[in-house]
Amino acid sequence: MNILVPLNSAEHLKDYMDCGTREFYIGFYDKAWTENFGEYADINRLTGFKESANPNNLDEMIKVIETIKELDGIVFVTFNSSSYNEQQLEFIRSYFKQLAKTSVDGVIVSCIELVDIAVEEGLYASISTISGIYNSDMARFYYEHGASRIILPRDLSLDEIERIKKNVPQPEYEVFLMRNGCTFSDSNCLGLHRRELNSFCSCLLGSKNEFVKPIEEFELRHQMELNNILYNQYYHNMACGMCAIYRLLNMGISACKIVGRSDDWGYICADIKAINENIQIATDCKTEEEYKKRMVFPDNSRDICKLGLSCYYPEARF
Amino acid sequence: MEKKQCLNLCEILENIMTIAPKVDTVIQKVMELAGYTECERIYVGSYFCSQYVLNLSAELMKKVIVELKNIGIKITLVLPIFTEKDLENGKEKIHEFSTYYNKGIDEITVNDYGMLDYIHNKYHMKINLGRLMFKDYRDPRYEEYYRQTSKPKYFTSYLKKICDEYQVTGLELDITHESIELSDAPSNLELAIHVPYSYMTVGMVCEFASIPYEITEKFRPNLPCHKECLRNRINYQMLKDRKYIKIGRTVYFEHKDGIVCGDRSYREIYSPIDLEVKE
Repeated sequence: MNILVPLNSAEHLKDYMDCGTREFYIGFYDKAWTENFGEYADINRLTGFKESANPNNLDEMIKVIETIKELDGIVFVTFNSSSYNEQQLEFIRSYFKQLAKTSVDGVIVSCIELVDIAVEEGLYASISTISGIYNSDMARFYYEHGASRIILPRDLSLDEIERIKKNVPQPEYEVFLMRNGCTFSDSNCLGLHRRELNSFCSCLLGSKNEFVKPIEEFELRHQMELNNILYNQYYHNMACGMCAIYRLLNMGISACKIVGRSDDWGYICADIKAINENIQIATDCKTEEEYKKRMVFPDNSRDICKLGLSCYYPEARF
Repeated sequence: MEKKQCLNLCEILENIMTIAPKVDTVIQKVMELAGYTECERIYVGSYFCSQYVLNLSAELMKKVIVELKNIGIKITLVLPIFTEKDLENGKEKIHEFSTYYNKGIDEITVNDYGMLDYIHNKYHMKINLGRLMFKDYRDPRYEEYYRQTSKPKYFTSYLKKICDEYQVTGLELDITHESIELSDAPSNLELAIHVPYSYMTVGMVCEFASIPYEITEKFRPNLPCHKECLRNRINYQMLKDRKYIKIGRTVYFEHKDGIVCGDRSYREIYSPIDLEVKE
């Protein structure tokens, strides 16, 4: 199981590789895109965060791709805005044509239209979590349209991941493993991701809220309000799936993902080291229980390993 | 432009049907709320929640279907995305309703490509692509963006190809901006627009369903539930002039100011959310 890591620039490439990964995903910005389609049109889901998430233009990014390949790495370029119009799809086709001339390993795409275009241009298509592949019928549909890899949503259980993999074994599968959680589904959360106001969910969960109907009975009110506080303030502030590594490895998952394209590189390095160490431990262990006894925990374990609220796969531990 | 009047009773059928003993009286009351003079069809099921559909009472469905047939109102069955653990149970539920296909329920709305493929191959029914399949950003927090007239991105040649291949007959859309321009929509497809709320975000994790669970068991995807969502909802005070509400797993924003431009006829699907919470 490879560790897939966001890469903003080649500056820390060697650091990441030294920590134990060789698989990367990367995005880019393009002034021509913005001139054509406006300020609010995204190439990828983090276009609105400008250079902090996508510091390279296409030419610069292609140089980064070539550097990764020279070091025997694997690299995907992300095109995962929620939707594109016909002109934008054709514009992306022109990007794909340029990428097809490089050694890039594939493109991460968010919609069925881009799967078709990627296949037509001879590129390996990895299906973004934005497509929301929640079951084996959907996985089969995308595989039959040419998907080589499927990135499964964060809100699937380990049992469900295992069954999808078993029912549709042909494509590679990738899962989320570390850093920013998501309260809602990536596939149908349709607020803008921009630096001015950040994500919709952070605004929503940070705003004042109230139950529409007053709850008279104390016990029920306590139950609902506590639930609401836990959901708004503690659920998936951060997210980690380290305890699930043994099962994911044994299912044959191809890659586990660290998210956070605008996060500090030092934190990403710490995550890579811990995951890498746990993959080695899991490989040596004969049972899941043995793995969970021997595994290493993330540096912020004291804060996040509580009550399953920061777990991508809480069933692995709780 | 012609506007056919329809009602969305998805996820709220049980509550709405408690308003009066007879279905036609209930429909009449909801029509009054919507300002409708007639009702061509209702939508039942769920766009967003598989647990809701799995627990949808066959008895209630039968009552609604029989009584609506008597007054000439058609029914669309709406299917959510079923995650892997519920997919087979979901298909069994779809089969359970098949007694009424083309005899009361005359079309099905799907919300993912897997279900589109399944329904197309298994049942001879008219199919709509539901609102979850159209993912244009919508975000009233950004005034300048929201005030634009939106030309939906999804009216592409790829969409037409899929619709032809799967003999899709209709598309269901949300109003994402202050106004939405439908002139690029494929002419052979029937359009339906949801009012007066657009969905903003949804997840497989349900806050309401988690209420009775121990903390370590809370907030897991698709928890089996007792429809706690029918008993309450949450209002968010996020923007001064905009209502955001969470019903079940879904957060909606109100767009009473939304305008549909162009001369295309369409179905307006009114959701009586304001009658929804059970007393």
